[in-house]
Amino acid sequence: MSDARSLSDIKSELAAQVQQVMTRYPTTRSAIMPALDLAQQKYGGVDGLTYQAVAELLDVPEIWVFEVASFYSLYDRAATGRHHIRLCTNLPCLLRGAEALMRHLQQRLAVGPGETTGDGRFTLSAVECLGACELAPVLMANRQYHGDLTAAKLDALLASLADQPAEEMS
Amino acid sequence: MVTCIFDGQTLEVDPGTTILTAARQVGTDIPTFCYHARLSLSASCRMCLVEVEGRKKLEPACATVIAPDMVIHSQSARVVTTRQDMLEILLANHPLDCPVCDKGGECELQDTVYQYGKGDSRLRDPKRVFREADIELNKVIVFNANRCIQCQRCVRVCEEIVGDVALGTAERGLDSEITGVGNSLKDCSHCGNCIEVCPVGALMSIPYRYKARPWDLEKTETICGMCGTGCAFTVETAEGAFKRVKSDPDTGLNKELLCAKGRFGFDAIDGGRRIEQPMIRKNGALEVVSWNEAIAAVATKACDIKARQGRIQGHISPRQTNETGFVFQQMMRRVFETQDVHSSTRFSGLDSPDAVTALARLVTGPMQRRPLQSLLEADCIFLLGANITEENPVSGYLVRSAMNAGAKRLIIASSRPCGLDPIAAATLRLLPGNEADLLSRLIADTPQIQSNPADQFAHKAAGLLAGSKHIALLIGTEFLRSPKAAECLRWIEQAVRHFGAQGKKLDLQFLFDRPNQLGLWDMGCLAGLAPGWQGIHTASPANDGPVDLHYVVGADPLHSILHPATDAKPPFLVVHSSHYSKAAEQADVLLPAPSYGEEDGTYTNNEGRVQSLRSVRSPKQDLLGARQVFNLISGAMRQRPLPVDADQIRDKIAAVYPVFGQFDQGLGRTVAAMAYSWPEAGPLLQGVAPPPPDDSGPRTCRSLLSGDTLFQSGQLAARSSVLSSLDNGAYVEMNPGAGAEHAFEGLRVTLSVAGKSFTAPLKVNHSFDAETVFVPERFLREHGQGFLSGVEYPCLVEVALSGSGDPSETG
Amino acid sequence: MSEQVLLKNIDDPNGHKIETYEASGGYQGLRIVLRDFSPDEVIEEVKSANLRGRGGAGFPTGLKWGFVPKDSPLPRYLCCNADEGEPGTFKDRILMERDPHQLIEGMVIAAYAIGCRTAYLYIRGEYHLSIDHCQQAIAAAHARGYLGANILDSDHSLEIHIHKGAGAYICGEETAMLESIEGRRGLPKLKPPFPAVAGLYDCPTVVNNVETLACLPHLFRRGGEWFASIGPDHSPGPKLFGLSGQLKRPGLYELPMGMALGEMLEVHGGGALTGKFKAAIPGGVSAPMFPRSAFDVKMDFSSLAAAGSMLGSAGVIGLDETASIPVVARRITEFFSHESCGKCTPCREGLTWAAKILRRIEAGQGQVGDVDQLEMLCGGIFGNSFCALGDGAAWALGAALKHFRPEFDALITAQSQAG
Ligand SMILES: Cc1cc2nc3c(=O)[nH]c(=O)nc-3n(C[C@H](O)[C@H](O)[C@H](O)COP(=O)(O)O)c2cc1C
Ligand code: SF4
Ligand code: FES
Repeated sequence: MSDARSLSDIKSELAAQVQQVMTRYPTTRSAIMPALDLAQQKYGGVDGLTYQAVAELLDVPEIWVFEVASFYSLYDRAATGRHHIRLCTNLPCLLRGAEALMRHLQQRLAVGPGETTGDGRFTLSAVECLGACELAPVLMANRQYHGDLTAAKLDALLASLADQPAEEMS
Repeated sequence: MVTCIFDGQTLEVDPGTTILTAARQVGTDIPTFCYHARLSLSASCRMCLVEVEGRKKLEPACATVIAPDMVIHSQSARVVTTRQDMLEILLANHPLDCPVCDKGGECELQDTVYQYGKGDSRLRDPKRVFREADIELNKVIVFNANRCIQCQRCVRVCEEIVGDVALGTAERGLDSEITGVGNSLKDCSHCGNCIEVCPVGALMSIPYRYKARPWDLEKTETICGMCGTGCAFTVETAEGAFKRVKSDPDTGLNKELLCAKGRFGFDAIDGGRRIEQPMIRKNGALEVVSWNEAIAAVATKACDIKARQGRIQGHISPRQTNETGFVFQQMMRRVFETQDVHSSTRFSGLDSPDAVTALARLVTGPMQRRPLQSLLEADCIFLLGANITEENPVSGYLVRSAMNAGAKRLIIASSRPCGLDPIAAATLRLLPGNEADLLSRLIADTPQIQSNPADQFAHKAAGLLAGSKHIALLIGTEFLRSPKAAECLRWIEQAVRHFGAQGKKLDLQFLFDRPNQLGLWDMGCLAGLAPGWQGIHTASPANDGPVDLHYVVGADPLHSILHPATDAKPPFLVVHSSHYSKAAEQADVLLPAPSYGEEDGTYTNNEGRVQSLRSVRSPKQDLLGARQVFNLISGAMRQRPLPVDADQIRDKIAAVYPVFGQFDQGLGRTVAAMAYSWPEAGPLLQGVAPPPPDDSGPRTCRSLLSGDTLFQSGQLAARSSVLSSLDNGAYVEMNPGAGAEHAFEGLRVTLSVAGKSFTAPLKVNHSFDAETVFVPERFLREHGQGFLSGVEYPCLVEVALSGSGDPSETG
Repeated sequence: MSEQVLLKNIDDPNGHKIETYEASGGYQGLRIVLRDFSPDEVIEEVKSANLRGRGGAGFPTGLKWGFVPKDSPLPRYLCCNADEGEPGTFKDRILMERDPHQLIEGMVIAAYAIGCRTAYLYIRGEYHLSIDHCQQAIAAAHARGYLGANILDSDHSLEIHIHKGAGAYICGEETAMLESIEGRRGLPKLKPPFPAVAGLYDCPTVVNNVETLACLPHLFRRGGEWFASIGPDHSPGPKLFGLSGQLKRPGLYELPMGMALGEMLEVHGGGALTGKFKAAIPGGVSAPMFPRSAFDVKMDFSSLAAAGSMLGSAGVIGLDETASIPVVARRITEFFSHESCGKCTPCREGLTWAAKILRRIEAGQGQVGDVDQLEMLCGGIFGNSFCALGDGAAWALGAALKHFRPEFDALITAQSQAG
């Protein structure tokens, strides 16, 4: 996340892109979501300093930024592992075995949903429908969808990700 | 008109009326939680659902506008069951900790369940506990998440009315939680309106927390003593001890709204150091004496000075009541035979008879004695020379909510930045006194556009004003402290005439920072002015000599007025007051008095509304009321008795000033309807020479502005320990120019002029202009070097920044 | 199989490229519109073709556009709803990933009809590939003069900006989506005023689904009459159905509306994964499920509505005999309670409470009276929530209770007998 950076560092690192995004909207408030997204791509998540930086860049009350950051589930407000595995557990996936796969992942990674492995490699999340039900059961690893999952496929995926560096986010 | 059938009854309503409003008009109760008359509609609690024939779903009464021939059922079986279901669902997770909840007994949820609930719940699973502990959002506001019902009234009042946007909502769904940045409230003005609008015990007041049960409290309706807005509120006490201030949704111009000073400052009545007994200075030290001795001392001195035609001056604080003010000026004029009466120690601009004449013409002419709310219906609101959001916060809230209501324009020209600047169509920072210059450009036929901000502003504002039919001009009083006061008053008058001639409706009111300034002027507490705004033409023998006897009621003029030439003998000083002050410490005679909160009487607010002040506790037994003392002094000087009884005084006031107290009946009986003898305004004024261009280049001098803030209102607020705790000590506020925030961290500012200096931590505010620097009056006063005593206001001071130091020490 | 219109290029690996699109007749519809139609005529044509919204409510698109005030001095906005979050739905993702220019062309046409110069394309944040491909499509369309100032030398100008969602199903609700574009929490707004009058930034705004907009190029290239001739009169035009759940051939199918649910599942979906179907959800999880006995219901807006459900997002989910309805109901309810925005009481409090009871029943701690509690909650939520999320949730749960109450009772009785 933004640790070790100061508010003014963050502001200056984001300023140009945020300025750019602001031109798309008639109000600066509209740029809160894109600005948080930019910050998340840069720092892997958002936190108090990010909110303050975004608020100051957009000249909006800081609480507006925090409200948005906490309403939407894709903003990571806690540190995540290098790879974020989001397994869909919604109905179409559930009907095709998502619960068993979740148990499998929990066992393999030795973490519960919402947790990060001790080595910081993986964060595991159970998520709502990913909009890829034709591939059920499906997960999203970082930005990539993987469908028609089986336990074997999961093992292969974990193995291939394990030593990869975090995906280039932007 | 629109016709509908409501619960079988045919109703005619105005177009646009909602079902809820119509129901309330005919006295039918429909329960609500999220609805609040002042706030935007939410329609989210679903308590007010009613049946509309022909519509499949129930409709929220709060948000459904009555259409022609609508048939509405607000008590049908379906509606009643749905209400019960809603309450049952709402209570599913609501803790039933009413016995330990501060809101118990006055909780809207409790009351609604009592009235509309089913009595039992079918939902048996364990309730969710949101948080184990309450969160102290700041020094005055605490939040219990479990009790919150997500009506969002707090968030809306904070943003829409107060304008702070300190509160917001975190998370979503059942996890939604009211919060501020980092679980505290950044940018919070501590007004506590969120507490007041909270229907349940989720947001609570820390000073009041666990202090009392509401049904044990004794309630006294009275008027806030902080500023001229004159908010109505209820003071609640238990066994004579102050517990809290509450505001009522139906009372006063403020209804439910109060600012931090009003809501949390009332503990001032228990603060400060009281003057307990009469005292006389003997051999340099004050000694306790009997009332008789003290009164005799004043009487003897006054007789003596009168006999040798010396000069007596009287000062009464604009926190004194109309009744006391009226008798005070009688004592001054009849008993002491002096016209030298004043009711503000700060308005040195009113020392000139010209200024008084211009003031009187404004007050008896264009000034409106009407509800502020009706002025705010104007399509253009012009705040001139007023620091409204600091000095009259609730008036500021009303302006903001008026602005929410529709296509209106707001123009602001003020010395300090203002919370309303962001929603204004044009803003200007101007030095007090330069209002005259601004107006002269604004109404000039061809405002020249130059590059200077004042001209640009004048050009823009002139355009906005030209496009408006109805203008509300709200003027502050800071310019009355400047030597240009008379000029400003006359330009205001001219502007009024100018817009009048264009067929515009222009309504004018003052924004006083003291609760009874207008009232005391009405009572004649101003040199050259008799009660009821009659001119005094039989001038007393001109006497510009040094003051021989200074009689001060409530006020603390030492810091500003009393500056005899160094070689002159200081006047004989009588201080008649409830609390010690700098002046009191130097008094020759010290007379105790009841304080605000211990006396009945009336205040006249900025609207001209005469409002009753009630005592919330009786003063100490042997304490004489101020008017009793005046009467005794008169007696001791062998003069006619002065009235003491409030009712009797009000009759006397009404005899000379028939409109007194007629605000509510008011209408035709305006002050303007009376006959006055003020000289007509002279010929049209010629343009004012613009202030000299500032020679840019490194400048170290700035104009020192002072005044009240969100947490301060003169000595009264200074005695409140809650308000004092919100200030964190002295500071100097200014715009130090561009630069990274951290570059200014820990800096201190030293202001100096003529051998005096003042040092305090820097508070950066980039909305100030580069020519000014602001220190709250309280800190300058406590610092005690008479910074504001020069003839010039605002005075130029040398400004120097220095590296960080211990922020706690000042001076 | 019937003619594939929307899915024509779907298997082409270069389907997302402008060259592929143009080669298959792309941007011809736009040329025709700009050449032959006034904005009002575009609206009339869409009305007479009877294009109904594909986002969920099936509202007639031309009618919606017609509500935009003609004389308003304010800017108008078009917002494309690509927040696709209804479980069982994935059609918009596939359209955007594999043939995004249909959407871009459709947006240019819709913007022309309502006089809009700035449009926002609200894509849910998980759809990285859709976002990338739409971004590329916008750039390519710009380069060829289909976007930007004076499109194809006409007076019509348009910029399209992508606004990325961030994981909130409620933002699919049109007013919540507008709030989200304004940079707020995605809470639905009070109607009236309707978006067409005061929507985004309080300006007249039209919100349309991806598939709705993607129909437009075809509608104008081949004519409204051609469009109206596909499927039943009241629900015409090409239509996408997403088949998922316990069936053999899950996937996206373009089929005319009006086909029986059973036929769709058996013939196109390849039948149940295990044994026979027990039930099916016809239009995403908000749509009440049908038991097998009702599988002859026709899959179009009106027939489904008459049968007590809805076409919704046309995400058809098959449940075979291995499916436990109490588990299905629990998961659906959990979804809605997780996605409830929290604004209104019944949805915020009621759904969470219902999920709590359902979890308890599933865990073997059911009690007599639980189903009554659930029914009371459904009754309290349905019709009383602020927006259709709460309604849909209660409706869906209500149908499970209605058709499969014995399954719930059995779980509860088993437990009370054991205990
Ligand atoms: C809770 C909720 C979620 C919705 N989600 C979507 C969605 O993901 N995509 C969509 O196009 N419409 C969705 N809708 C419907 C939209 O509100 C709106 O009706 C639709 O986008 C209009 O487009 P159309 O007229 O083209 O169908 C949703 C509605 C509700 C109440
Ligand atoms: S039904 Fe109510 S709480 Fe639920 S999503 Fe809609 S507005 Fe929000
Ligand atoms: S008062 Fe009408 S919905 Fe809350």
